[in-house]
Amino acid sequence: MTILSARNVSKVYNPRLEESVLALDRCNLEIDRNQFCVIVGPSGCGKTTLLNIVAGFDSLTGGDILLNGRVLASPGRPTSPGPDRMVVFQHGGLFPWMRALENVCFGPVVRGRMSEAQARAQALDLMSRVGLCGIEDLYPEDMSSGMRRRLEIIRGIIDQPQILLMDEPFRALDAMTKALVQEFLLKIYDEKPHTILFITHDLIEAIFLADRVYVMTSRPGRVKKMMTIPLPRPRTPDLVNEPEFLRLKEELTDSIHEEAQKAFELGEREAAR
Amino acid sequence: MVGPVAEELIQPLPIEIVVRTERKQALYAKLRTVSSVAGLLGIWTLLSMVPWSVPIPSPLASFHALLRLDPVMLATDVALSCRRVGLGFLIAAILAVPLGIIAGYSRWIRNIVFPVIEVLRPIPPIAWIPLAILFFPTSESMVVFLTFLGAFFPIVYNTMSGFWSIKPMYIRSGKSLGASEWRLFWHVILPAMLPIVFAGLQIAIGISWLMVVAGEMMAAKGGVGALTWEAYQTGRYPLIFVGMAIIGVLGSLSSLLIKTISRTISRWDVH
Repeated sequence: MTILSARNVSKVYNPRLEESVLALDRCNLEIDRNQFCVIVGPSGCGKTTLLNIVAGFDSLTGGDILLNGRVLASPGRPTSPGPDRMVVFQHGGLFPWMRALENVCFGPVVRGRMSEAQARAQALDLMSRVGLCGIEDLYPEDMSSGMRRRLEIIRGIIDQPQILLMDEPFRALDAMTKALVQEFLLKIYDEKPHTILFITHDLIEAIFLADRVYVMTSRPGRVKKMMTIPLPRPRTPDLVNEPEFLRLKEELTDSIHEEAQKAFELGEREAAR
Repeated sequence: MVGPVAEELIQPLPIEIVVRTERKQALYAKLRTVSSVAGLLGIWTLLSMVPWSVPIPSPLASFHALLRLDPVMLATDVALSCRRVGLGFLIAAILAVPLGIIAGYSRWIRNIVFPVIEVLRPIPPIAWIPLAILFFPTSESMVVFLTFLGAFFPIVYNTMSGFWSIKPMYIRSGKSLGASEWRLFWHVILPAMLPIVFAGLQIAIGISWLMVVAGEMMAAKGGVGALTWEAYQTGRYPLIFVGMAIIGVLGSLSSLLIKTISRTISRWDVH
C-alpha cells in the first residue's frame, strides 16, 4: 500500500523574478508501507528540496503530495511539520541543551502521547538495541558523531511516524562510523520495518539500504529512473561484494554518471560567469 | 569492534597518579591567578615610588586607609551602590529580555521599536546624566535610572541577536517533534538563545557599574562612587585608590555571579 506519493511535484524559487530557478520539475515517486526508499542524485539536484517539501519546511509550486491517500501539500497549501513525518537532519538535529534521554523522550512527552515514564522505558529499550547503553545523561556535545546519529534515529522512530525522512544523515561521518551506523539502521529496520525516505549521493549506501532507489537528474531536478533493489534482508556488509550487488551498482553508476557530468558542467559554466 | 572490551585493555591509572596530576594542575592554576594579582600590586608599588608631582599612595598605604575607614560607613556605601546597580539592572533585564524576544518574533514590533532604539542607543549613557538629574525628584531614583539605562540596550540587543542566532534546524526539529508554539518557545527557543542573552547581561551589569559610579560622583549621597569623589575633594589620595579597588572588586563579583547563574542554567554550553 502506498504511504507517500509525489505527483508532478515542481518547485520554482523566486517565480516572479528574472533569476527564478527551477529546482524540481514534475517529480513523481511512490513509497509503499514499510519500504526503504532512497533518492540519489548529484549535489544541487533538489533532493533535499523535495524532502523539505514533504517535511513541511518548504512549499511547492506545482503538483501535489499525498500521505496515506490524502493531499498533504499542494501549491499555495503547504503542509506544516509534524510528528507523522519525522526528520533526521544532515547536520544533526539533536538539541544540545538536552541530555540523551531527554532528547529522545521530548517528542512523545511534549505531545502528550506518552507519560514521562513510558517514554523513558521505550527510549532506553530502543537505545539498548543500538548499543547506546549508559549514555542517557550525556549531552550531545559529549557523544561521538556515531552515537549522535544513532540517537537521532531513535528520536525519529520512538513514536512510530508514518514516514521517517532522512536527509543525507551520514554525510559528515568517516567511513568506519558510517558503516557502523548503517548497520544499526538496518538492524532497527529489520526488527521492525518503518517507511523511510532516505537521501544520499552515495551509490553504495543507496543500494545497501534500499528496497527502491530513485535517481534524480541535476537541475532542474527530475526523477530519471526508478530501480528496485531485490537483495534479500537482513543485509550484511559483505553483501557489497556479491555479483548481484555489483551489477546493481554498475547500473546505478551508469545512470548517475551522466547526471554528475551535467551537474559538473553546469557548475563550471556558472563559475565562469 | 563494538561492545564490551576486555578489561585488561583499559587499565585504570593508579589513583595516586590521577589525584596528583589533578592537584598539580589546580595548584598551577591558583599560582597563576595569585601571581597575576601580585604582579599588579608590584607594578602599583613601583609606580608609587616614582616621585610624581602628586604622590601615588602605595598599596600598603591604601590598605591602611581602608583599615582606618569606619566599617559601618563602608558597608553602607557598598550596600547602597549594590542596591542601585541591582535595582536598575533587574528592571532593565525584566523589560529588555521580553522586548528582545518579542522583537525577534514580530517584524511589526521590530519596525516600531527599533528605529527608536537605533536613535537612542548611540547616545553614551553618561550623556543622560544632566537630563536625569533635572527630571528625577530624588538622587536615588536618578542613579537607579542611570544604571537601568546603561543595562537596557545591551540586553535588548543581545536578546534579539540570541533569538536570530538560533539554527533554523532546531526550530524545524522541534516542530517536527510536534511541539506547540509555546512549548517550542520554552524547550527550544529559550534554551538555545540563553547563552547569548547571558553574554548580554554580563556586558550590561558592567555598564550598570559604570553608571552608578558616574551618577554617585555627580549627585548622589553615599555609595562607593561618592566615597571616591569625596576622597578626591578632601585630598585623601589613598582613599581614592580604596574606592577604585572596591568598585573593581564589586564589578567583577557581580560579573562572576551572572556567569555562575548562566553556567548553572546552561550546563550544556561548555564555551
